[in-house]
Amino acid sequence: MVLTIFSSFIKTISGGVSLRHILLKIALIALLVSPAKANDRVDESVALIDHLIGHIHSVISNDPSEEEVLKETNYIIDNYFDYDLVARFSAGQAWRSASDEEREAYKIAFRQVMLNLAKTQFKSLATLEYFPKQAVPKGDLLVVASGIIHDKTGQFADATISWRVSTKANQPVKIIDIEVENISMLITRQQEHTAIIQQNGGSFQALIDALVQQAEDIDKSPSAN
Amino acid sequence: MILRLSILTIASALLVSGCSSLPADQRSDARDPYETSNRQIFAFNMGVDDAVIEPAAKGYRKLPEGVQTALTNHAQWTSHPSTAVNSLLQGKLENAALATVDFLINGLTLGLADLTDDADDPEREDFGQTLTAWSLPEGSYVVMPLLGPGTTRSHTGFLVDSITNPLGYSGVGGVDVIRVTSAPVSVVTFRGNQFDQINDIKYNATDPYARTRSLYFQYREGQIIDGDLNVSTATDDAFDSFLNEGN
Repeated sequence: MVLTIFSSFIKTISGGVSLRHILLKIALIALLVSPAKANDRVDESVALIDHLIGHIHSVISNDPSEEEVLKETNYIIDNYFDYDLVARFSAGQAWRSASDEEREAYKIAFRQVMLNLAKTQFKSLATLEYFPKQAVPKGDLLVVASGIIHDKTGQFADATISWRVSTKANQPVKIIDIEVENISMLITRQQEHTAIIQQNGGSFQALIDALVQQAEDIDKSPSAN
Repeated sequence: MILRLSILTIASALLVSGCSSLPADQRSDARDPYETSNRQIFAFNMGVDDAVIEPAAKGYRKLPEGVQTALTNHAQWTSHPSTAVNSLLQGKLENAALATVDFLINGLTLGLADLTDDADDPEREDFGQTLTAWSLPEGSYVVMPLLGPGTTRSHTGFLVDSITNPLGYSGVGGVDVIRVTSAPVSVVTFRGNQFDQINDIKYNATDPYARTRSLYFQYREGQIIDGDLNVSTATDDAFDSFLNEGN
């Protein structure tokens, strides 16, 4: 009964075209539009990673100084990664109860760890090649693009790498996680950070202190100099 | 050696099950109710690594590349019987056949040479993965002395694999030697082949215990899904929830 009334209403406003016809059109439009949107997200994600790889290789080919590596790593974090999301995710549940000052201090300390790690490892990327394999949307807000890393020297076996890309509507696509052989950088960080907070009686400041210390340790390690 | 490790596994499991579990709100990971005792055993294992395994792995890395490859091949070869049986139990017939063929052919050199050197190496399968395929729950995270991290399910799997491995029973000449040496060779080759990665955890992690636990769960999930990129993992779910929470 309701459907008959609805059908009559649709017929009236559509100038006599049947309900079935309209529903078919809606279904067709939905079918055509949704994959296009998904494909756009996937294409943008793949292009972002491709661009990042090209950027890294172009930096390395110029034999950058330590200062230039730091500058470029900062550029990469700001332009290819959603650092705000990376920081929030890596802090785990404790982020919610942290004060604004603690959040800011955490973001600075965590970035410093990443910068110091990059300083020690950036140039080792020179021998690696990336071969894209597939990219698939996972839900509405995430695309996972995967490929193979190949070491030209043959020292390391080929490894699968996956990039998790945030694809929020009306925002530029940005990388939020890198996973190698099923080991996610951010999940590992989040679980380690959660344990540090738990081991220190719930203190977020203890995590910040640990990260500051870690950044210093990396900087002092022989490979950093 | 393997049987001794199995007995140690049982004894440790009994010991750990006797430890009191932490209340859920005091755990740094919901899957780790025995964190206090696990951390103590982890510290003990790190001590063993300092004193024995890391120096042995350093020695292994100084061996000629060909010898390192031969020892790694041998360690993989000793796991083929278990892979064949467990692949069968999981219905992975092609993998079972590959493991059987590789075991028989490479057995001519006691696994030291990979005579079937091709891209189609069998995927390692153990009884822990079989129990997963049979939908048995994972159980709790437990760190075993010498054996390292695992869950009650994976440790049970290790125990069954150790007992059922035919290499542990045959009394044929060289097999006795394999029985005695296979576990130490596997440990040292694994430690030597992952030397930098393990040292990075040991010396650079802010919390080596927590990082090891996280890596264990992720690595294990990768093994269980056989690296299939189309399968949604727990990590995918965690990111999906995070993004949908409005972050």
